[in-house]
Amino acid sequence: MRGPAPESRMQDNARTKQVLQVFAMTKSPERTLQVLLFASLRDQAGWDEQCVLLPDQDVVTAEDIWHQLNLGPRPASVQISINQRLVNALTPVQKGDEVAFLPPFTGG
Amino acid sequence: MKLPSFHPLLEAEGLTQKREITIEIYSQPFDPWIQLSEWSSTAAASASFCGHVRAVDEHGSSLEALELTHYPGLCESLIRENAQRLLTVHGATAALVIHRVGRLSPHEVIVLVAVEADRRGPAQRCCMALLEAIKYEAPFWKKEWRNGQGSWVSGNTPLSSSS
Repeated sequence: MRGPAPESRMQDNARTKQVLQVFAMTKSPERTLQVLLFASLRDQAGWDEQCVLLPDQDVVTAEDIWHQLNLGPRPASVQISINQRLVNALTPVQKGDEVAFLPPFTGG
Repeated sequence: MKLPSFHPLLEAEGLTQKREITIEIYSQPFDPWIQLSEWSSTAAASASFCGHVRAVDEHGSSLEALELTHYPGLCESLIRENAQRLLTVHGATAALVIHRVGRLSPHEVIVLVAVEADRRGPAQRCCMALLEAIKYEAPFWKKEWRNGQGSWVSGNTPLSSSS
């Protein structure tokens, strides 16, 4: 199945970025966390770091945060870290956390 | 009964030798031989691996440059955790890891891994295992540049690959 045209995808990314920024600006900073993207995910999203609003629910997981980014289903190969510790997708996040989404590593 | 100095039980409990781990992330070129010379001790055995940028990309086309990015902080801590674990498992005494980030030209050094031990087996096995851990478990990402276009490398070649 073909994805959206690059121009359309860029517009979607810009809209998502704008929405995330508006959320972060209009809500109390105590209810936000920092999201980092790396490598191909940065290119896909069009940004590398965002302040994101925590959804209004008792338990919010790293996977919930991913869905909020509107980047489609999370590939199984994308790992997650919270405050610089690798975690699984169902790990709860807290306000003020640094949550990073990490494509497969290719160093060495 | 006197246990040999490389006995796994003693190594696991950290009762024999202090393990030295040095990890550096450089954004500028470095000379691996100078780094090795400055790091080496009087250990009886040492093993090292030095990786360079290939002149071709993963599809065999001519490569203009290789761009390396990493996640500062998590990257160093994961390398350190792996180095500590592998030195213990293999009964080695010290490890050096130097990894480049930034834009690299073909033939530049990407990574230097060195391990010291009291015997060649632990040094060589630990050096190979530590390199593999860096390739698969440390958050570095490579982007290949050709004709002004960059593309992310999809994955590492397996250790058994001859290509």
